[in-house]
Amino acid sequence: MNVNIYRKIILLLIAGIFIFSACEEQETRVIIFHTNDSHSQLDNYPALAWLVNNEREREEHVFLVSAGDIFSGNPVVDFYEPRGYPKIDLMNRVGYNVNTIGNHEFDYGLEVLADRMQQADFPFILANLNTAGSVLAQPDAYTILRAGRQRIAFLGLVQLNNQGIPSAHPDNMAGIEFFPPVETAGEYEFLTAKADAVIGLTHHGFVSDTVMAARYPWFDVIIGGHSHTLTLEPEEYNGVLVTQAGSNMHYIGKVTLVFRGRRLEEKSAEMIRTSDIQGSDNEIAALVDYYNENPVLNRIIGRLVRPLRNKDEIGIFVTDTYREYGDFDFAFHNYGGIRVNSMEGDISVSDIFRMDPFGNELVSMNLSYRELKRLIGNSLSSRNTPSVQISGGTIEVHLNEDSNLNDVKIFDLASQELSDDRKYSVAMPSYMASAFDFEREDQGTGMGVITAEVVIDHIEKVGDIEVTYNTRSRIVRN
Amino acid sequence: MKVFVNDTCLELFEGATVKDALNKYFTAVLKKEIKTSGRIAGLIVSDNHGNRVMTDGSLSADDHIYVDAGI
Repeated sequence: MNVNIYRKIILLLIAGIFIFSACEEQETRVIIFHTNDSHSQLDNYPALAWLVNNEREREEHVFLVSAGDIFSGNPVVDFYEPRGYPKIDLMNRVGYNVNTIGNHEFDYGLEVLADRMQQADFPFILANLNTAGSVLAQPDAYTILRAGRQRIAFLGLVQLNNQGIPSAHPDNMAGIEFFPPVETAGEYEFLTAKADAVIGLTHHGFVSDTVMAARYPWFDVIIGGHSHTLTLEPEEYNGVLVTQAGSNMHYIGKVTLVFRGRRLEEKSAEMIRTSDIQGSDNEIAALVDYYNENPVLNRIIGRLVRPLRNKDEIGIFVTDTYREYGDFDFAFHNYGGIRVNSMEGDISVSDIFRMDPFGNELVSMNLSYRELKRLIGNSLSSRNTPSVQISGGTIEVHLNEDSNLNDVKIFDLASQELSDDRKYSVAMPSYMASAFDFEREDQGTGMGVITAEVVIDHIEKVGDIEVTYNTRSRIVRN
Repeated sequence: MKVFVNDTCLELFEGATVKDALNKYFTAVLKKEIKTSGRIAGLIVSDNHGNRVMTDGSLSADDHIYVDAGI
């Protein structure tokens, strides 16, 4: 009797071990769709929603993640009230699981970022910062998503510029301390014990991703952003699969992980061109239409007391706003970057984007008088007139009797010629900072704000705009 | 910061994008004036790993990008 019971117990134990082993070796597929640098774009969400929902019908474990920079690039979202709201609304509805905080998440300021994080049904993660001195609550460094018995960790990291902060306006990150992203990643090797796969969900550019892969082979996959790299055929670096899906959701990344038991046995990545997606989610499409038709862009933000009759007068207005924005000594704007010939009456957000549609960033730099002369002298039109408008002073172009350039002189607001003994703080659009060829010591720093936004902010503050027209450049024939 | 377009070293402002590098490369180096920003946006640009990079992508110091200069 006792022997039979023993036999039965042993048989049951053996069967249990077999069943347990079979479970252990069970194959689990995990699909991770990813976007990065979507920059306030909305129009591709209906296709993305269709793609993800379709996959969710076929596969048990489907995630959707974002590698940062969800804001800035579409005035429908950037000037919505509250700012950024449509973006998070759509990301919630499409079912994002996590977003890494990119540099452009800071563009609306910390209070708005905190509101948008509150609005989101998914976490915003970032490891390389300490928000203790700011109004922003400390975000989680990572999140762990569950796919059945498997756990997948996502670690958030953001790039830093040469000032040690992400590339955005410094005022928008006041009180936050940042740490180098690649070095910070090294502190999270413990995630390999907490999860069955570790994914870097980074926003520091493709090159940094490959550096991270070389240093930390314990990452299984790195899904990146910031450099807008499109890895059409994602490759492994030091055994780490590194992938990135371009920008503006023109492509959707797809990572497939295959686990056997708890072991990650296979990993692969591909890119899906959004325009090739065969379907569209009708509900999401209706919502995108609603946001796109929203009258926010036609909202009147101010009024011109006197019409601006030509590009010269418009240039005076915009350069004055740039100079005031950063309390600069001088500001410049190239006439070619002004796309309307006159402006009058009520001014809307759309009017400013029509006048300045290029999305140029405002760039600051410190220039000597000699360098300022080069800026003006090297960019004269074929008629030897300056191709830029100035704020903060006046320009004299001196020509000889053959109408060739003799000299350029610049005078400050007190009509004093500038001094060779000091540097002057200067603001200009990024187009001028890159395309205008003038030798200088300081190449400048992007201020994390586009020029149109500087003008819009100024008009919203002032309301009634009265531009005093004065001739700011003249030709002197010697 | 220094970046390289077709292995030509360019000095650019901190925070510059691929578009800014191309603006400088075509106008200041090749002396080709690009009349519309749409032409820059439509260029096929790659990095030194052979990946495509979008023209609105951010650059970091010492990045290398490549573009067909016959615009």
